[in-house]
Amino acid sequence: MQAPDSVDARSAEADDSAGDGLSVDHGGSAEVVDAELGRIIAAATSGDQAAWRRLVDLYARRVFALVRSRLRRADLAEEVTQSVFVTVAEKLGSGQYAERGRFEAWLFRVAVNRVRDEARRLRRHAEPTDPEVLGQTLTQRPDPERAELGALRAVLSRLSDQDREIVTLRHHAGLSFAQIAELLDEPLGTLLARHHRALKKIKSMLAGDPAGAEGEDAP
Amino acid sequence: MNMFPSNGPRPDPDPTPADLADVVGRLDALAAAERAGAPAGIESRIVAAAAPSRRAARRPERPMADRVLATIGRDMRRRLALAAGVLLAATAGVVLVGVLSKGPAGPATPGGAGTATGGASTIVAHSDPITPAGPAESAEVDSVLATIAVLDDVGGRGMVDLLLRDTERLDDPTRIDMLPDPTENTGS
Repeated sequence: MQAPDSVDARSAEADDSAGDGLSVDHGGSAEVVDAELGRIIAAATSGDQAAWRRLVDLYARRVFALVRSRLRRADLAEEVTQSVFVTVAEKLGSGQYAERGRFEAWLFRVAVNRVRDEARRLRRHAEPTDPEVLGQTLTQRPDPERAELGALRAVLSRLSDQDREIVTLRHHAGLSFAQIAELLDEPLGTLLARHHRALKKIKSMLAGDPAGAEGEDAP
Repeated sequence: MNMFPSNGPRPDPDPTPADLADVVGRLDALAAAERAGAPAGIESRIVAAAAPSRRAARRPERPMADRVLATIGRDMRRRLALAAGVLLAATAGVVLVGVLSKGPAGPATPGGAGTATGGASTIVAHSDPITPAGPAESAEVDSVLATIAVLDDVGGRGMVDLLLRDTERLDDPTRIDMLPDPTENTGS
């Protein structure tokens, strides 16, 4: 089921402290306080190209990381990321988004919906191997760090859709649990419990216990 | 036999957040690698891809009248349309009654006024009294001027000014008929 694109979702007052107590690295984009983000969004909505560019700079890589973690192909991930921002540009320009401090939840809801659509489409077709991964396999010697990241990617792909979605929204997109709860329209407590269980499964699978896996339905 | 002894290690102890910190650290490292691994220039390509949508959003798609109408509620639009229809019908009715109530036009007075009377309406047509077309009209103008001259002598400048103040009254030949006869003794 698609999460609605509207911003009138349940209010999310809880903050990050409700989560695992560990900070999330939003990397790739400097932290922007809400007031400044509001100004940037307002300017971008009124046609300010520099503000729009700033918005893209802030979120493009986070959206890309989320999409890539699910679709596993860099070229496809960029295509989907572009389409997400095209949708955002259209909705901002046509006044379908009113800034009420929920831009991130709204942006990633658009991204999650697009990823779900694309994953559904990919299931109906043969899954190609990421050319980047193929190139590494053929030309490079194994790098321990890369191998570790590769193993973690493989573990993530074995999680159920729901668990993987929460983990990637939390870590790849860098959202707070409150934002994820708003985005997925789920109770905060349920999300926290599910995230905790997902971490346990990952830990178990990394330790070599295949029983932790639930879903082989990736992407 | 007790199947669940209270003492001894549990087979699958629930890991604490501290136990999972390592997993969280690895996930964050993976996420950072995915973000850093985004193709170079992805932001510029996104901006370029979204440019047509942003231009289209800024350009008004509908004419101003449509946008103004769109802001009016459906019920209000229905009421306005009904009011406009009623107004149009009433105007058409008044015009029709006016046309039907007119009688045949009466004969026009040469060089003077033609009056058509009939029903509720009266139409008065004037010829130009300043530019007479023939000797009869010229004589009439002369008589008016002579009357004014007499008035000037008898009643003084004030009376002539009073008469000249309203050109419409002066243009109206029927008013001339109402002027006092200069030959009549006013007793002043």
